[in-house]
Amino acid sequence: MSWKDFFIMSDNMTAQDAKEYMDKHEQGSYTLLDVRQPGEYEHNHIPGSKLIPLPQLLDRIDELDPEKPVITY
Amino acid sequence: MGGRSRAAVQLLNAKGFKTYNLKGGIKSWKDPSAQGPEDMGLFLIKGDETPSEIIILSYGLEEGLRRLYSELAKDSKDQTLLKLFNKLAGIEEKHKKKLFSLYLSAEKSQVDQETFENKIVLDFMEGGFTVKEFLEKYQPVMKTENDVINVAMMLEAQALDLYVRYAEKSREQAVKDVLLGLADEEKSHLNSLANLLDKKTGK
Repeated sequence: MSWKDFFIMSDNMTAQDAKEYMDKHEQGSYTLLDVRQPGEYEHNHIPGSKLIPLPQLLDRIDELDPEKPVITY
Repeated sequence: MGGRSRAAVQLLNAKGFKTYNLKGGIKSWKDPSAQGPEDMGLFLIKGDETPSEIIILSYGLEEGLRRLYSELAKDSKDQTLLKLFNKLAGIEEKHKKKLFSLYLSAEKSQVDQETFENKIVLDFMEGGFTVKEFLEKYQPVMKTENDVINVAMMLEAQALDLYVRYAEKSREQAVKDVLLGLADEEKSHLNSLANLLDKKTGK
């Protein structure tokens, strides 16, 4: 991590893009990641999302496959 | 709201992941969402059960969906809807067959599908809601065909969600593959239902 990392523009996907991406790609070839809190996830989440609340992300990073693209919200 | 996921993107990119941020977060998501805590439907999934147990649960879920579609087909006056429900019920039946043969190879057993369904699955699913109870609960909100499609979409979204999470918990590649394959098919069901809804609402 360097200070430059803070200026990297993240790739955004609109909901429409994300939906098209998910329809084109097989389940299991990408990770859909919800970084909100369990209560928010419980209320509603995108089907097939994995929940890792942001505060736990670094501790639980080994639960994610680095080979697969991640779409996060 | 966007702050958290942007932070996640940065953390993950720094670790070498290819990450996208969903613009507008879940609020911008217009397709059906799933409800329930992270472990919902995973109450029996601790990650240490046999592949057979995961297969049995999935089979129960498919049978639930199949019964629901059959029931809905009975009540449908609209030909397009009737056709779609019958088709979906037929696909869930195929899914059951797929899961059953997976069960046979996992268990190396000689049971026939009827016995499997009536004994093994029902015993295991004891205490789950029945389709009848479900319909009673949702009847009040299923007044129009669009409502019915909405409820079906909600269930498909939940099924898709569960399969992806079961697949993640499962340690057996063969089980993972079948579950993800089923998830893909439920995803396409969701799209057929959405298209029908678009047609009906004249989008």
